[in-house]
Amino acid sequence: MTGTLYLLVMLPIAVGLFLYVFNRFLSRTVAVGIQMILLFLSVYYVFITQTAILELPLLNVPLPYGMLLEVDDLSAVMLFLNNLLFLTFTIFSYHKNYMNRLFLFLFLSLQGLINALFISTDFFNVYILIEVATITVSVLIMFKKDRQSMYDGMLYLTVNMIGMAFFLFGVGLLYKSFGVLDFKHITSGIQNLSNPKALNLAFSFLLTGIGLKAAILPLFSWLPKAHGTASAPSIVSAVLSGIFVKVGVYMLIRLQVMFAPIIDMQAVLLVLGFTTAIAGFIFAISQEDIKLILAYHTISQIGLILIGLGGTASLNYQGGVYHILSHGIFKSLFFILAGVLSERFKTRKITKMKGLWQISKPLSCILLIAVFSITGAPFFSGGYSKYFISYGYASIFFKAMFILVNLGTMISFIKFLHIIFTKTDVQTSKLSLRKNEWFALGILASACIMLGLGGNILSVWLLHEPMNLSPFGQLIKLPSYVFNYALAFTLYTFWLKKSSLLHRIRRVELTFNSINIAIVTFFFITFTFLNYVL
Amino acid sequence: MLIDQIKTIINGENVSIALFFIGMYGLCARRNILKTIISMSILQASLVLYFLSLSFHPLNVPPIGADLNAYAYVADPVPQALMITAVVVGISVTAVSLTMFVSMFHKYGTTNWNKVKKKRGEIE
Repeated sequence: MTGTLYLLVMLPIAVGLFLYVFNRFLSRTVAVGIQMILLFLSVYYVFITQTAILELPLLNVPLPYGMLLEVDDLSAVMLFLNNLLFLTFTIFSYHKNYMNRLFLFLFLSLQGLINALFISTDFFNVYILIEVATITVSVLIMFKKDRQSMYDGMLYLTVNMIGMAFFLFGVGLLYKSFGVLDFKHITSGIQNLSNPKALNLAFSFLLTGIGLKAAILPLFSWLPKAHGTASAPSIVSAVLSGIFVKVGVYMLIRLQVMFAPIIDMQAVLLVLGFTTAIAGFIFAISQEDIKLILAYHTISQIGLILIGLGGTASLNYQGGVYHILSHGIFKSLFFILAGVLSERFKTRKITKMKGLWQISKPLSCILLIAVFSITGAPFFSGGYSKYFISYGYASIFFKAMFILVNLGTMISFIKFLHIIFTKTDVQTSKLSLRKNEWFALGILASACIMLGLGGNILSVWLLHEPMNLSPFGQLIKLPSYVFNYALAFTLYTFWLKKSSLLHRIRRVELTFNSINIAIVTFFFITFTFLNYVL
Repeated sequence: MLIDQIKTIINGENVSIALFFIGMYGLCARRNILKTIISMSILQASLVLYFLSLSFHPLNVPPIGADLNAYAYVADPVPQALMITAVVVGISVTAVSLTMFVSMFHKYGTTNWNKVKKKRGEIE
């Protein structure tokens, strides 16, 4: 069955190309069909990696000079998330106008490329795949070709290419030291290294490149432009925030494991995580554009994931990986809803959207589920993973920081509650969605609840490690959640709403040159830190 | 004496690192989009130079022919193969960004990043 790994990469790309050339054949139905096959395959991989690691050599040459595709626990989870999201997105936009053959080709290729990224075990392959995926994404960002999209697409492409240049330089330095490119031999080479400072330069280059992809603190300025762009269909934004930014996080995990013997990244990840989380929600609170709120909030959630990965207990790490899953699902749900809402209200300003409860009750319920998930309510996916991310921190400082991050998240989503509960005087018609759209929204919303309520079962199934927080244990968290939300609400209404601070923060936006200066500064600070502080 | 020292410093690897940061200087200090694209090409060139010179030895010969055992020093073919790919990727990236730049210039009528950013404007 290892041969099916070829399908994971080649099937979407080949089918996309086929549909592009032969336009007539029921292209959307075929697309949904292959998504189902891929989802089935990735469920199978999750199941099989419980006992074994799947490996598929690509050449007849043995490993240090050959190539290998590999599925282990982590990649199986990421593959599952990726294919689940792409299936729901294809179902959601089944009848949309933008689903023409060019879009389908790019969209399916992106799926194949992301799948390939999660199973490749070779630095240069990762470089090439990320480059190609970046070009694909930048075309998708500019898909509707309106006035703003050119700048967004161009900025995205150039900044990411510069980041990948840093990455490739790091790969070159690694190759100079070890003469190999695949993860396994580099890992064993690092374990046998005599001088722990020898790889500092390589590591700083790699961290800059990967950090830019994962949007950690000083390197995230490109993300809101790309993820919150007006010109991309909402499912493209959902792909970017739901799974594509996780490619960076995934590579960060791989780097962390690889360099663990010589560079201890735990503390660094923790600091970066907290600062990224706080910076993300500060920007998110100040925005009024519905997509930009979500885009900035992705940064904040990436920070939370990093906190989980940098934690000392092994449960923290699992919480981080679990949060990758749950964030992927609820953020995609949010972006799809944002697309529906901005289409309905003919605006992207969140303050002008009102009276969703009057317009559509089921949609309000789904939006509520999404808000509860992201703010970490008990019984929902976000609450489950956040509990494990913050598990085992005893000191007051950390507890205060976690409460601060939580409050920030809650405040940034108060505006979404306003959409539901503010009443409009204008008599409006009901909102009607197609059946396939309801179905896709239903899948994502029920996944949010299942990941929360059934977390104990799903964590064993997906991560192969038990995590223990029963529904009753979650119920006990309810009072503190309600109290926090009340506090957030008070803070927002009586202080933040009136202060001019938000207005000033909204204006802060780095120019292209400043983004590059941030990249270079981050690189030099990392290098200095590794050489002189650690 | 001094000249000899300088000669040892000027090798492919050091030059490529210098080139890399010259490219980065161009990206940090120039607002012209065309110069940004040129700087990105400089980054690409420095990477190619670095990979090709990292296993360089003056006595290296290409590993071609039937009897490879006769050679004492053989050039490493892997970086060269990688760089062919990287050059192709670099060219396509340059092509894509130039195409974008042309349509962007038609839309905004400027080559300056900051002016483009201003003209992009806020949400409607």
